[in-house]
Amino acid sequence: MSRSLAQYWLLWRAALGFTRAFSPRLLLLLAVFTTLVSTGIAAISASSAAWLSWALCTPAGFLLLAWSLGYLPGALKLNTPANAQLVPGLRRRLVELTLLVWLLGIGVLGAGMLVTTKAPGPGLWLAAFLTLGVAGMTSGIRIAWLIYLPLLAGVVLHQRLPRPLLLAVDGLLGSHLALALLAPLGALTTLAIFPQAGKRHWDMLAKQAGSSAFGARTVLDQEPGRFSWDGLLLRRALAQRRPGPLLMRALGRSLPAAAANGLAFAALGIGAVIYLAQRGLLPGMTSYFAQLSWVTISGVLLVFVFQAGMAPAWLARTTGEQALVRLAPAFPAGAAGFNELLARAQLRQSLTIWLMASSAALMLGLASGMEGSALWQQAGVCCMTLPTLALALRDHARSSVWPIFGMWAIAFALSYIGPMVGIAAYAAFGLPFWPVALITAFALTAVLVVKRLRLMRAAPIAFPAGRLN
Amino acid sequence: MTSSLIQMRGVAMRFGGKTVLDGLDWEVRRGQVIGLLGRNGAGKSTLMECMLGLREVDAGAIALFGEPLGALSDANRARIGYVPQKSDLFEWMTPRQMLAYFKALYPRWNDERVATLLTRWGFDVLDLNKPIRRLSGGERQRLSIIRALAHDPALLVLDEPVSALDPAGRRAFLGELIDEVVERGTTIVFSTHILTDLERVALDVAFLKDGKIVLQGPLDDLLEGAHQAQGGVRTDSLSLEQLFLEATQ
Repeated sequence: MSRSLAQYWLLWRAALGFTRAFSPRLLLLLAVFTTLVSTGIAAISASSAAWLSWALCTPAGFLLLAWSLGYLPGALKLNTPANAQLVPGLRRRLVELTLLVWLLGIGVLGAGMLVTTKAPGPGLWLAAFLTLGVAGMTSGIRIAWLIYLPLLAGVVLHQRLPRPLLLAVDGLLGSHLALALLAPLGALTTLAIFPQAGKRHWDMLAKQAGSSAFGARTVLDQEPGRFSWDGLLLRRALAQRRPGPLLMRALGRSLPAAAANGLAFAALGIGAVIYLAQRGLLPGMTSYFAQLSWVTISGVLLVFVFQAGMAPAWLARTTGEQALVRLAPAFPAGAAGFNELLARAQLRQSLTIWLMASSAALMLGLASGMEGSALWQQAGVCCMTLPTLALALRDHARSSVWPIFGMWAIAFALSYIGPMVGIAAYAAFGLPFWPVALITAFALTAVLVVKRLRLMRAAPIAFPAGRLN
Repeated sequence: MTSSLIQMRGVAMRFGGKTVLDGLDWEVRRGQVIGLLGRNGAGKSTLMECMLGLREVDAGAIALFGEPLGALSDANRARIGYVPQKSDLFEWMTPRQMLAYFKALYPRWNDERVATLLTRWGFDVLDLNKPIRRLSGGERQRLSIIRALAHDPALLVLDEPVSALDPAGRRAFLGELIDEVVERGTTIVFSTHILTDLERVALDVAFLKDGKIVLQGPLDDLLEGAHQAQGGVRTDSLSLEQLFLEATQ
């Protein structure tokens, strides 16, 4: 291996190592598995070229995911002002590696798209601007949101552009243009996110500490505004002195408050797009939304599934706070009482978020024109995610923190058990899908929650989490 | 009722393959102000965490206020103040919110004292309303100390409480400790590497080495004893630093 490659490899591994809840090995396994499965299915069921498209696009997607969520936050931490200024070549290598990996991901993705479509433009532009936007926002560049403007303009103006221009943007010419334009844009962004010490670098670090979910030590670690939901709920918890809400406050900001903010944004965004599509302001997208609306709307449930999967990681981040809280006489001294209080508070919190996400999904369904059985089915989809409630309940003192991707995979797997049983029962015995799927989801939730509650009652005191691991 | 506020008998604790506490016996009397000394990695923080029940021990028994640690009453739990080594805690709250939070967790809270300390240690309205994350290391440590003192504890456990403070901050903290806490008869166990601070506050010192308390006693007696052990000929007096090096080598 050449010296440059060895340095790139070293930096890649070092950067990934910074992100505690991110497991590169698990993601690699997942990428290989998903690529093989998707390529295999495409080879059997689709056209002869489709397998190649999947074989290229799937690993490229995983590479861009690892680049955005794993590598980049770590690389930003490596590029401290001292390292950038004093370690020979470190900043240059980081800039090169960041740009090369991004170009590789975008390039392979584009090549994969070109195999099956003559209009890879929109997908390619979307992937490129999204990843660059994430890079800019993560690093704390104040004007990074500007990167998203071309995307927004593209969505709004897509069908209004003159047809020749539209064909050029969507088609091969657009792809070549994209690669020609994106390489310098990517280089500029990369140079901007890895400054070489100086005032701008320190300002960026301050911004990262203040607002970045990756840089912050606790999740959703933002300023507690006086008029925010979080501030309001904190004042309510302090006034009422109820042990459960007070105990959850040791773990960080109120997750239901954060979920409410996220859901409000998601609902506004999706609702606006659906409204515009229904009014004919997004020509060509109405039929698209009519077909995919329940899938789009079910995306709101990800807020619940993701937070359920992240519960153990959140506990691992606040062990210092947990030690102080455990000494406080407001909470039970015994393990069983303390753990039961925590378990109930965690369940209440998760259920609140589930209720909010489900309500948002149903309201969006109503807004998009759903009625009758379609709405009931949307409610059924919400219920399928209920078994993930149990993920928050475990022997916190002894359990290790699983990588977030692993926990999310389990959360998704639990959400799919109901539908899978429903499909199997329908295929084998002709039983109706929804009743079987719903009964399975409810029964699984009850069994898992009761079992995990028993486990927590018998476990050592939960705080500080992970001390017996 | 025993006069010992802290009793540790045969306490053993291992991390993986490493023995951190090895059948440790230790007693701290009510009202005693004791400095815990030991080299880096000797296990001072672990000892303090075990003493407070924040870590399970592999063997031995611990009692606080005459009650076994596992059956400590709420009344006695409310009499413990603890300043951990890490002061970057509750960073998502403002100092005002964090103090209000802990006020809600304790039956007794000395608002007047909190206000006095906040003013004396330089917290203005602006500081109180910005997230703890944005405070300096010294400010966070001061805040941590104020939180631990706010409910008038009878036992104060301080794990390197002044490591991030400048000399003026250390002087103010030690002044507070001597003037109010010690005068009130509060039992204090505190670890530090700044030996001059220890000499100003602690009447007793204990040295932790190889998982055991190898030497403990009144500071003056220990210094005197160590001096005499050097041959009985009165030459230069032994400093605490020299005693530390000898006891922990």
